[in-house]
Amino acid sequence: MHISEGILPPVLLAAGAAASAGGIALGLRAMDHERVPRVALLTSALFVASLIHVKVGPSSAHLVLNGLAGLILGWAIFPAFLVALLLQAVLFGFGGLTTLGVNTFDLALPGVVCYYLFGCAIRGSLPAVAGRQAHSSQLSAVSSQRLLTTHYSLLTAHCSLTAALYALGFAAGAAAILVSSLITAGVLLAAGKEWKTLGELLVLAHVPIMVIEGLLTGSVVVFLARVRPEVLGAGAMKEAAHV
Amino acid sequence: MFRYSWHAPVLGVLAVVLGALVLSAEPALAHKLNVYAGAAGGTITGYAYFPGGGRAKGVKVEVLGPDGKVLGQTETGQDGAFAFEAGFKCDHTFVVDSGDGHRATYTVEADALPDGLPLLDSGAGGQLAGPQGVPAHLAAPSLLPPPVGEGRGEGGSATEPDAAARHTSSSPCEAGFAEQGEGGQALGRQIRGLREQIEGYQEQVRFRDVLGGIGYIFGVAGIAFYFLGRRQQRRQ
Repeated sequence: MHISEGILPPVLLAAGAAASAGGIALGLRAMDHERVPRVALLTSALFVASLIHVKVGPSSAHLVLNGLAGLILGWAIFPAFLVALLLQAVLFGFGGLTTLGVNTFDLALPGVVCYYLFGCAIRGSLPAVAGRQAHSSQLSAVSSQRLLTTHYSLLTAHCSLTAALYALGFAAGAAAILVSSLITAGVLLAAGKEWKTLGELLVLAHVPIMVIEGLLTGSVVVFLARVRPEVLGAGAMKEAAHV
Repeated sequence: MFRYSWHAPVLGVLAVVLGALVLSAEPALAHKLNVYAGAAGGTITGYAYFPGGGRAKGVKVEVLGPDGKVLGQTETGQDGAFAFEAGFKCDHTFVVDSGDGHRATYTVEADALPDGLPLLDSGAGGQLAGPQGVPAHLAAPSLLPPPVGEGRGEGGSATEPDAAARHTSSSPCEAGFAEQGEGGQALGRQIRGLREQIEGYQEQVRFRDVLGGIGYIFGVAGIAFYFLGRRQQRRQ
């Protein structure tokens, strides 16, 4: 999904750069002291993820992690992708400097979409997770026999909450890749490429990536919800306080 | 404990997914396309490949002259290779476009071609596009691996179709050897093999690049802290 130099007309390059500049401005405004290390950490992840390749059938594509980064960073995913893609272009030769704006937009926007589309539901269920966690640690003091018999319903409720979180994470990870490949295909279509090639090489080739990123994002969301819920929710609270 | 038994499967899934990724990590890069070409006599052969492994099959190859004029067109075969019969003694720029947003160029200099070929009639010499001879967007430096030991690049080496004022380069050696019979041809092939290997090394992503990139990211984070600190100071 790194568009190379010399493919897009200047109009599209300028449009991509302008759109990305807007996202970056919003992302920088949302940043504060606590968020900077998190953004840096995820920028490193985005930077390295492109080196992990998955080969399924004749196609080979790489991880992007924009769904996960979007859920955690919100608008700050824009500056994160700008830095990650700049370094990929300079150090690895992926993409290019003139296409930096377009590529940043292609990859970061779906992350923001996931932040609002799936992130709201995930953040909404965080208090429930915290409540169950406190309750189940109380219960574990009771004999396991009683836990299984009298609190069986609680256990199933807990499992379904976990499953829901996992499903939301999976949807976010998969949707981000799908939207990214569709935006990239749309940009290339506007540049006069054939839809048949694009559909095959861009959209279909990323189906395995969608599944893998879905699994990965689902696992990470479930894990973070239990261990560090503030990573998924703190950003939202900060923004709410600003607004 | 319930709490810990719950963590185990999640961590397990993560470990399995990451393990599978590392194992299935193929060197074939789908996000970068490269092209290499070299001349043997009047025929320029080359191939389009993904750095690290894998050839680009059935990809269109456009051949441009020094002024960006289209000289011809060909396509890569099942092994990613293509061949082009040079009609003129001039720089040939091979542009490979896989149609999904990946594109690469490589220039074979006029020097590499035999002297017997006619010079390209490029009209008025002053009409040439620029110091590069090819439009600037075709000569994107990050896409063109700097050919080792060649005079290609910034210094306007491609302006003159005439080869007289050219620096020494390894390609003419290949061409020269190709004209010197059996032994020379074998040497030419060996030199070509070496050049391909050097290009391959240059395209490899190295561990130090990855580490360096992460270092840059944390450096940028440090700068961000600086500006945040200043903003806070000003508020107080």
